[in-house]
Amino acid sequence: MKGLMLKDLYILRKKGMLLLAVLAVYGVLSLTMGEASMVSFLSVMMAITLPMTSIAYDERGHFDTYACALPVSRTAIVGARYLMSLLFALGGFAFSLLAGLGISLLRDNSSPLEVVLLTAAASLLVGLFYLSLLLPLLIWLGSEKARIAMIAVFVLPLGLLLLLTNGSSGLVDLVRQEPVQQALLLTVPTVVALLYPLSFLLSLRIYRKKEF
Amino acid sequence: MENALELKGLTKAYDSFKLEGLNLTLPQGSILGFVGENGAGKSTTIKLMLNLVRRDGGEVRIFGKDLFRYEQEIKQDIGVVFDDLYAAEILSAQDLGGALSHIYRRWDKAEYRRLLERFSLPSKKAVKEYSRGMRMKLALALALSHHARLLILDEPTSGLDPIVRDEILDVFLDFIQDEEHTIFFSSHITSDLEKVADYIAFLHRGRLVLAQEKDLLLERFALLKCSAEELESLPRDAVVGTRKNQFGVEALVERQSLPPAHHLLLDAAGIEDIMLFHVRGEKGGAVK
Repeated sequence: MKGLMLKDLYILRKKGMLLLAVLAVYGVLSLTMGEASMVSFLSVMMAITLPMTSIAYDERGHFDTYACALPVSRTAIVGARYLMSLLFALGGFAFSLLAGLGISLLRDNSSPLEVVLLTAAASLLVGLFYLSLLLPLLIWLGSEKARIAMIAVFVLPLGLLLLLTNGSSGLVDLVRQEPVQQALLLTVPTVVALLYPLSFLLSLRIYRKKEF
Repeated sequence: MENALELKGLTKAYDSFKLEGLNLTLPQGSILGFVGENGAGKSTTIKLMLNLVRRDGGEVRIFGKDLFRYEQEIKQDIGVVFDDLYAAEILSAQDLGGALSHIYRRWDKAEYRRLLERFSLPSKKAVKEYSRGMRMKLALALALSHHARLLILDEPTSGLDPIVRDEILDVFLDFIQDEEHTIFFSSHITSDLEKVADYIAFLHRGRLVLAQEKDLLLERFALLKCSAEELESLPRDAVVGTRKNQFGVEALVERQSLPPAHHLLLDAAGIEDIMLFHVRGEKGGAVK
């Protein structure tokens, strides 16, 4: 797996530089504006687009055919993708945290550590949630065919959320309540923590059946 | 001395094509040229040998071990080259070497560097800037840098100029100097096969038509140019295939099956001739 993950790093090293530059710019912007949500949003984007980029490059180069001829199991090939994506998501989390703390310090903000932590954690969870949906799709259909499906994956949860909260403030009021928030704090991470490995198992099933 | 490769009853069915009951044995230390027209099933066979596609039946044994049971172990000792370099174009030779060094247990950094030098491949350039010949040479360098015992190549020289092809074939001959090394390569460039192959296996429409030592094969067949009447006089089983031309008939014959005292003028048959007559020639003396 190490070799495959290294290969992904080499691929992204060149493309990743651009993304890091963008992140840095937004990081500075958010520091000056005192708004951490931009950074969190970007961290999620980073967690998602980096794996997608390396998958797309590998696909164009027909790397899977070669990979399966190497002494690496299909489990390791899929595992490397998931591990790499997890690392990127964690990287986004760290970045989000740092940015949040930076803002708190610089702006002497009333943003308690809790909020910073929560925002960063939320970006991690959202990133992992989307990855859990996207990775099996990409592995199954390839990045070209999965494009439409991917848009649906991005838009549907958001659309659903908008629909539920629109008009009726009932749901929003519900979430504002302490006990509901506590429940969410426990269940959402648990759900995501289960979803990611389940997604891995699904991807593995798909990849094992593939012929190159 | 064990066989490097054994295929027994290998079968794979697609919608429009079927590889049927392929039996092939490749002894250690030799080069087998796997030849056949486009679509004959050469790539399918190679992919079955590497478990890239699922077999419908049969057995694959490499170094005496069953492919399914010992897949990763076997692959440590195999170098693979496809008809192109299959890697993300943004990577460099150095990147690929770095990645593979963690995958192959016996990766030899020095050997890789030496091969890159021998092939004049810039190690830090992205492979998308490589020419086709350079890509193939890199693929070969990657396959040769982990002390592999078996090289499996799928049309490694197609689309390459004669100079690069010659370079690559020389590398094959160097590799095979070690008695424990074996090469299996598919090609439809029959001149390459004539240069380096010890064995020739000829696949046609999913079936193995011939599998024999090259020298014996080239002795076995001969080309005959004669008239239709002369052809009629020959025993049926001596004639593999015929082609009519404006002067008469051209036929591929088996020397052994010809009557002993024939006065026919025979020319040597090359692998290409053998292939053509088996595929396109009319069978057994009948001339249109």
